[in-house]
Amino acid sequence: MQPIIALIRKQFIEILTSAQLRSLTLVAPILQLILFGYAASLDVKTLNLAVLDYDRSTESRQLVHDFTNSEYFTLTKYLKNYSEADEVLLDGEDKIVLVIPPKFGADILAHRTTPVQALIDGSDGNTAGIASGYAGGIMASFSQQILLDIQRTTPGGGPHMAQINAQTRVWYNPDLKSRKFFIPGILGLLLLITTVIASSTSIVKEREVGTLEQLIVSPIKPYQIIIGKLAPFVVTASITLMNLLIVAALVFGITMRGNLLLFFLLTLVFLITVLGLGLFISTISKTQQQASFTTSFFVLPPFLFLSGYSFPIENMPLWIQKLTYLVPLRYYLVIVRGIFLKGVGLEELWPQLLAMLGLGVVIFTASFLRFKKNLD
Amino acid sequence: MKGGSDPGSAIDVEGLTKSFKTTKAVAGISLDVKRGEMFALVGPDGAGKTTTIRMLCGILSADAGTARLLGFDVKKEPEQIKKRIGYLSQKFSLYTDLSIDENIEFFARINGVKDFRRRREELLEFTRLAPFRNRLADKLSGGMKQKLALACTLIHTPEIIFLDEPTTGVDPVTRRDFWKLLAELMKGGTTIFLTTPYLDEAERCTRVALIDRGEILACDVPEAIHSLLGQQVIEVSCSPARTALAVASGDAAMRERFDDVQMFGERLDFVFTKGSAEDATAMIERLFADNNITVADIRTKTPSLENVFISLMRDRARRDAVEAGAEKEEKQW
Repeated sequence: MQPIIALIRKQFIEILTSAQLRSLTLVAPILQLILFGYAASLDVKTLNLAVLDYDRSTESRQLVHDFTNSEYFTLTKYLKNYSEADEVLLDGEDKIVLVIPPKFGADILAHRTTPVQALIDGSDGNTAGIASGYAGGIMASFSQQILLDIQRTTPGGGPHMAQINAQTRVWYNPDLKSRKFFIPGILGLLLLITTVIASSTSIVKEREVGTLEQLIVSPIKPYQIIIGKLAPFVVTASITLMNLLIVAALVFGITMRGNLLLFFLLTLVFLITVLGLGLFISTISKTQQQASFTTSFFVLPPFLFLSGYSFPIENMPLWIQKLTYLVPLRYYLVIVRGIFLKGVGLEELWPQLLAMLGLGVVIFTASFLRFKKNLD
Repeated sequence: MKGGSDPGSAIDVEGLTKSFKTTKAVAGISLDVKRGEMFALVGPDGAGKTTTIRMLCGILSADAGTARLLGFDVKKEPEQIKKRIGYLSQKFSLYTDLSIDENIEFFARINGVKDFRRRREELLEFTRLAPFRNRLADKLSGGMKQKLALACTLIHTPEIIFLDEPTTGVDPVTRRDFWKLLAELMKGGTTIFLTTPYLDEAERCTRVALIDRGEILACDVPEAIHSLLGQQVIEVSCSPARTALAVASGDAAMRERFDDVQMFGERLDFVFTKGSAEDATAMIERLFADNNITVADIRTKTPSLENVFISLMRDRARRDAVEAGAEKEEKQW
C-alpha cells in the first residue's frame, strides 16, 4: 500500500506543478465547453428571402407579408426577373426565393388552384430542409385562410371539410434546441479526450525520462504502478466533470434532470474504459507527443463520428452500425443524454452500463497485459 | 535463506545472451564479481554494456544464459534481488517536479523503506546536497542531479549497485567528486558494478572487463590487463601524423617489426613484443627522417588500457578474418 500512496502523492504534485497538465485537466475543458457549446447548434434562426412577384396584387402582398411576419424569414429585396433569382441564390445572399406567378390574386378570387414556386439553396441540406419546412407551413396556413374566407363569405356556409388537426408536443427539449442535445455530448467527449491525453502522456513521460526503469528495478509491482499512476486521473476527471456540469448549468441553463449520484457512478464505469485507452496508448507511444498525436488521430475520429455524437447512429449503414457497438462513448452518450435530458434511471440504462463495463474490462485488461509485457 | 553455490560471489554470469532483431547485442558473456569489488565493464558505444547491465537488473530478459546476484537467480527470484540492488541508469532518472527531499522520500517509499529520515540525512550529508534539499530536481546542475540520483539509488542500502556510464557527460570536477563517493561506498562494503567508455576511469577499479561487440575480450585486474600481452609501446609525437601513419603502414619491414600502430590525434603509438626498445626507436626515426616527417618527441612507455584494448580488438578482427577464410597472409594493422 505504501508504494501506491507514494506514487499517487507524487502524481498529484506533478499534476499541480505542471502547467500543461493543470490546464489540460482543469482549465481547458471549461473553456472548450463554453466555446463549443455556443458553436454547436444546427438551429436555423432567420433565413434571407427574396421575392419575385409577377402579380403584385393584394393577395400576393398578403403571402409575402405572411412570410416576413413569421420569425423565420427576413425579406431582403424584390427581384425583377428570373435570372436575378439565379444570381442571389448563387452568391448565397439569399437562401430562398419566392416566385409568385401573374394572375395569382385573380386565380384565388376565382377559386382556382394556383402554383407558387419556392427556390431553395440546397447546398446545405439541413438548412434547406428546414427552410422548405417553414415555407411549406406558411403556405399551408395561407391556403387554409383562403378556405376559411370562402366559407365565411359564401352564403349558406359553403362546402365543409373534415380536417385532421395534428397536435404536436415535443418532450425533453421542447424548443428543439440542438444545443441541448449537443452539450451533454460535448461534455462526454471533453472528459474522454482530456483524461486519455493526460493519463497516456504521464505514463509515457516516465518512460521518456527513464523513471519507469527506476520503478521496474524497485520491488513495486506492475499493478501497483498502474493504480498509482491512474487513480489521480479519476480524481482530476471527476473535478473536470463537476466543472463542466457547473458551466452547463450557469452558461447554458442546462441542468441535470436525473440523479446526480447515478450519473457520477456511471461516469466512473466509463472512466475504466477511458483510462484503459490511455494506458494502451502509452504502451504504443515512445514520446509524449506521439501519445497525444495517436489520441487525436486514432481515438478521436471514431469516437466523434461513430458514437452518435455528430451523426445519428440509426442513419448509418448497417455494418457501420455494428461497428459503433465497439465505441464506448456510444453508451456513455446515451447515459449522459438520458440522465441529463430525460432524467431516466438505471432501469432504462442498465444495457449501456453492462456494455460499458464489459468493454472497459476488456480494454483495461488488454492494456494492462500489454503494459506488463513491455516491462519485461 | 537461499543462496548460490559460491557465497563470496556478488554477480555470477554464465553465457548471457541477448539479440535485438538481427544484431547480437550480448554474445554469451560470463563474469564473476566478488562481494565488495568495484568492477568496470569497459567498451565503446554499442559494445553491449547497457544491455548487459539492464539484463542484470532484470529490466531486460536474456535470450539465453543465467545470471545470479547474491546467489539469487535474476529470472526466477526477481523479488529477492530487487530489494538488494540499486540501479543508476545513464540518464539519472529523477522526478523534475519534486524537490531533492521529495525525490529521496519517493524512492524510499517505493522501495518500502519504513524509516527513511535518518538514512536520508546520511545520504544528503554523504552527497553534500543537504543545503539544497528543498530545491526542485529540475533546477539542479548536472553534477547535483547525478549525486541526487545516486542518493536515490542508495536509499534502501543496496548490497550491489549498478551504474550505467555514471560519468558520461559530467564535468571533470563532478567526475572526481563522484569517484570519491564511489570509493567511500566500496570501503563500506557495497559491491559496485559500472560501465564506462573511459579506460582511464577503469584503472581505479578492482577489476576490469573489456567488452566489444557483445563479447568479453579480457577480464582481469587493471595491471594484468596492461601486461596481458607483454607488449611495449613507443609513443611518437610527429607531424603530419596522418602521413606518418600511411608511411609506417606501407613499409613491409615495419609491419614485420611491430604488432600494431595506433593513432591518437597527433600521436602515434607503436606496439611491439619482440626485440629491444632502442632498436625499435632507431628504426622509426630512420623511416620518418627518410620521409620528411618531423618528430617532436619519441619515448618508450608501458601500454595504457587504451592500447591494450585496441590491440585486443584488432587481434580479434584478424582472427575473424582468418576464420572467414581470408587469403591474405600479410599482417595488417
